[in-house]
Amino acid sequence: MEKQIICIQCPVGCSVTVKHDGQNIKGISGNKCSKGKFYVQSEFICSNRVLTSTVLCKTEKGILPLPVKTDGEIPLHLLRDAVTQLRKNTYTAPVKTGDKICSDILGTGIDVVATKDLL
Amino acid sequence: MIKTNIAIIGGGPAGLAAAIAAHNKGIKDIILFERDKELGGILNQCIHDGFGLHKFKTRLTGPEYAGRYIDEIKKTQVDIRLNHMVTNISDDLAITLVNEDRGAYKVQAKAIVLAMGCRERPRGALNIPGSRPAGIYTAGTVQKLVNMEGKLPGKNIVILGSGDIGLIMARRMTLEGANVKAVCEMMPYSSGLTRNVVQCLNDFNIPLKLSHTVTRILGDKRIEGVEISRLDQNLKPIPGSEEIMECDTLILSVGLIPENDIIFGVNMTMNQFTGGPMIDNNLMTDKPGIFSCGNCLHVHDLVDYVSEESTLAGERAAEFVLKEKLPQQEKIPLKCGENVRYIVPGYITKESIEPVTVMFRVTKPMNDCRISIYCDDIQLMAAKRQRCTPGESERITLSKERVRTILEKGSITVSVSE
Repeated sequence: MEKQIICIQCPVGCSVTVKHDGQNIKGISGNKCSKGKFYVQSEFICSNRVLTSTVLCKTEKGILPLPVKTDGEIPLHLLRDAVTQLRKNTYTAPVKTGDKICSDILGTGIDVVATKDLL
Repeated sequence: MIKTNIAIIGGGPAGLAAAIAAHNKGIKDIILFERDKELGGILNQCIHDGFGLHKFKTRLTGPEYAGRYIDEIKKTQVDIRLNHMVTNISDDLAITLVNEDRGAYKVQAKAIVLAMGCRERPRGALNIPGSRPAGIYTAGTVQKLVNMEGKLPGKNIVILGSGDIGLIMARRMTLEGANVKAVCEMMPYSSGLTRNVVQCLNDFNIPLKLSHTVTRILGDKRIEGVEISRLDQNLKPIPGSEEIMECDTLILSVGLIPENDIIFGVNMTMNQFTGGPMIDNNLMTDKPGIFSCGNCLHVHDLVDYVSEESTLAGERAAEFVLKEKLPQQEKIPLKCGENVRYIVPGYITKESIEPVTVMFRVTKPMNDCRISIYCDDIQLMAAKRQRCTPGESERITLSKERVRTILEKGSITVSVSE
């Protein structure tokens, strides 16, 4: 079987072909450098993404959105659930960039941190 | 009238980098004017990550990237004036401002760094037939509503234009529970970065309809749908290809325009392709003492390059002030050759002794291409690229030796061939 994966490690955007038997990679072609090989290997096994979103935060000026991100990549299929999870709580200022907003989101071992100071 | 050595117009990434660089060159008397209530510019609403890969070798979100410069500028003596709107710059470098508390006033500067950024192309510039219902937004407006005000402008969304902000908002709104039905792009290729097409559309199965555009807007009070048509090679709608797509929101991501209204009264040459002023390799416009950098010079793909360019602009502005006045320099123009839409800078000054980085955009997507730089008929250098697209600007650094050759020959042309 074959799967096409567009490499996004650089602007070239190689269209890489992965030959596989459903589970294991049998061959990789179309990538112009080794970054592409590593990218499609991990992409084939499980697509991971950094999630950026906002949570609600109580401040002196009222409730404002606080920008946050996952402190590492989480599986692509968990992005929606992670957003839903984050929306359940309202947080309270002051918050500094890098402050932990949520530990181990959805059991991924990845924390969610603030990306802006909010007083 | 208040006097200052350097006035910086704009507190986004360009203005911040320029102010810090000028300060580090020993100029203490600098005023930075920002019309918003906080520093950071557009980065404040760009909560997605991917910024800083070149500059800081790590992936930062917009607020994090801005935060690094804001922390830095707070350690300097730069006079930061928020909520200040510059309304005019005169030919003698006097700046007119308005502020709620201080009213209207003027500042006389020895040098000015323009760092106003850009604005989005609005619906009015597109000539889409139909009434003018509510529910039509530019992508940046949606970004501000969702990310900074916590408001979702609609549930069923069609996006026109595949600019990066539109792609990023397609993902953002999908994760916030909206249904993004399609992204329509007039050209046969995306104008956004490949990374964004993959991670913002493909990841969520949002169709990218290339060679399609919105030919009619339906609805009276609120938009109810759009008519989409396929376009032929001449970008004309193909009769019979019309399709109605119901939606409550249309988002436009159809290009950015450098915001330079305040310099229209200054006698300087503009570049009709970039929408910014013509500048030399010192980032100076042909009005001595006025420098331009960031998205008001030309629209950049990456903020990292904005910071780099603006740092140079700040340094050169500082040198201009320290030397009081540079003599009117002779300049060699950089010419666009085959398949090149524009080149920045527009000139190299005769006195240049340092390497010069040129940025340019191609006119169409090309594979396996060759960038050639010519002096008259002599090829000075060539570089290979696996792919060039109009959406991703190219950069070439000319070494000291090459700059010297260009100045001797008195000409330079950049071209790209497949």
